[in-house]
Amino acid sequence: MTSMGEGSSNQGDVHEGLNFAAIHKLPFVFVVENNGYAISVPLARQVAGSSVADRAAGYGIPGVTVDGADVLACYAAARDAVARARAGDGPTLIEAKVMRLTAHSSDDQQTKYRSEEELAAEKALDPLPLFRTQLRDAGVLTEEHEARITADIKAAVDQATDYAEAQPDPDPATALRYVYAEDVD
Amino acid sequence: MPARTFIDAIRETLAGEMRRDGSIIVLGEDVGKKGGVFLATDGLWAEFGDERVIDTPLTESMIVGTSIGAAVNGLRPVCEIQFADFIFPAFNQIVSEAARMRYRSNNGYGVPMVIRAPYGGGVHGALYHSQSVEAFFTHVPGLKVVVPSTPYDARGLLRASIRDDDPVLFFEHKKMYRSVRGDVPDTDYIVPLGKAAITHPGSHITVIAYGLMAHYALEAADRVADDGISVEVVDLRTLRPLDRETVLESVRKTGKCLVVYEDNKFGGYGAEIAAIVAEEAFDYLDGPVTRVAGPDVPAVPYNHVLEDWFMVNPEKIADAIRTLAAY
Repeated sequence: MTSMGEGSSNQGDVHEGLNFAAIHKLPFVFVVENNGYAISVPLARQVAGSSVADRAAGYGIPGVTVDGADVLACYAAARDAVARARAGDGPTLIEAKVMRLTAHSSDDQQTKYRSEEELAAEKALDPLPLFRTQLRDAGVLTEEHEARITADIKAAVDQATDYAEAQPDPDPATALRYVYAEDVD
Repeated sequence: MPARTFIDAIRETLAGEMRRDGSIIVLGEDVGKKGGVFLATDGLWAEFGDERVIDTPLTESMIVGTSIGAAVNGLRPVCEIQFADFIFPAFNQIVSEAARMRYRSNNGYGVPMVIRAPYGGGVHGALYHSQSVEAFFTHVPGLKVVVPSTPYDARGLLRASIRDDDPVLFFEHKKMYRSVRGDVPDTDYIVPLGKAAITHPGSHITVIAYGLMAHYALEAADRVADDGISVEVVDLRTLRPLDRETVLESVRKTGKCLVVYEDNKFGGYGAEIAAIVAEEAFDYLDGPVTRVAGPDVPAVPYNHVLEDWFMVNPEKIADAIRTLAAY
């Protein structure tokens, strides 16, 4: 399973790879998260025909478009694609239409190329609160359960970042190692 | 010992290694039923089948990218780029991925892979079937670059390259495929990477060359012997890692150094040799480190007069030897 954005899906290597994977019916699921922007360049300026999934037809493989804000729909699409791959039927291309809630990076000022209206509309589609509501409505998630999960995740992340930040920087004397295999470690 | 052409040595070594090690696969354009445009892989598909000898589309980036993935996952791919001139679509995969994998993963992953490619001019191959590309890759730490000049070395170096745990670019001069013959023992010998050979001992001047130029250097050495000039020819065999000791030892002995390469002169691989000799053997030099190399045009021309003008040949090398010897 490989994932990339719709921006990188325009690279020539993607064509070479999908073509080869389809020729040999490789067990491969290609996931494209289409958030509509490659940093600042909108979909209309990067993807001819506006659909990445439609390109799958050129390789004779299924191209599936799914609502990336719908967690269960994503699960179903992935489950079907994995089953197809395991059965020896070859690759599937899944295009998940998602929103981009934050700028591309901390240096990117996305209001320079996106309207306030567009940003506000996308925020209403944030999949995390939507999925929480869905699970609550189905009676799967209780307030107590959610609080426990949130605390567990926060603790795990804090522990990992504390550990990483406590590590010493590497000694430059080691920087020449592993350019090539070493016979004796 | 049986005499073999250069390409026989390559083909038999590929077959022998594939029999020895079931993890070796061969992939590239036309390497299957056809056996390669030069027949370097002839017979492999018949013996090892579709699973291990794979015809690919015309997709150099994918050929190398797939090989990297296969290597990381435990196979030993030997991929063929049909002509070295076609390697540039794969440049990103080779430089950004294959060369860096071990370093960036802190030795977690390696890429045991060989990329074979025929290079070089003098065969009327014109602008897209004649180039020397080694300097682009010798510049990159993490890659190894091998250029054999004899059937004996081709076999021993190809074995060493396939058994090596890092990515190796293995450049074969296409003019030598059928014109160069030599004895090749049937034993399982290796020519280690990073060891040059002194193919003609001498005392007045050191000539450093590789590939087809290693043959031309020997011819030039014979020509100037009549003038009383004793030439020591060093055949580098591996360009990276470089056998600095053999190069410097020879130059310290003779005091003069001529570097010969077929590629364009400016920024070519021989420039690095010249710099190393100047830095590390300056006190022993009795003349300027000199280069004989291709002219600085962007490709080997097609027209036969212009191709001859481009190519380094034994006479050009002999002239440069005489000039340097008289310095």
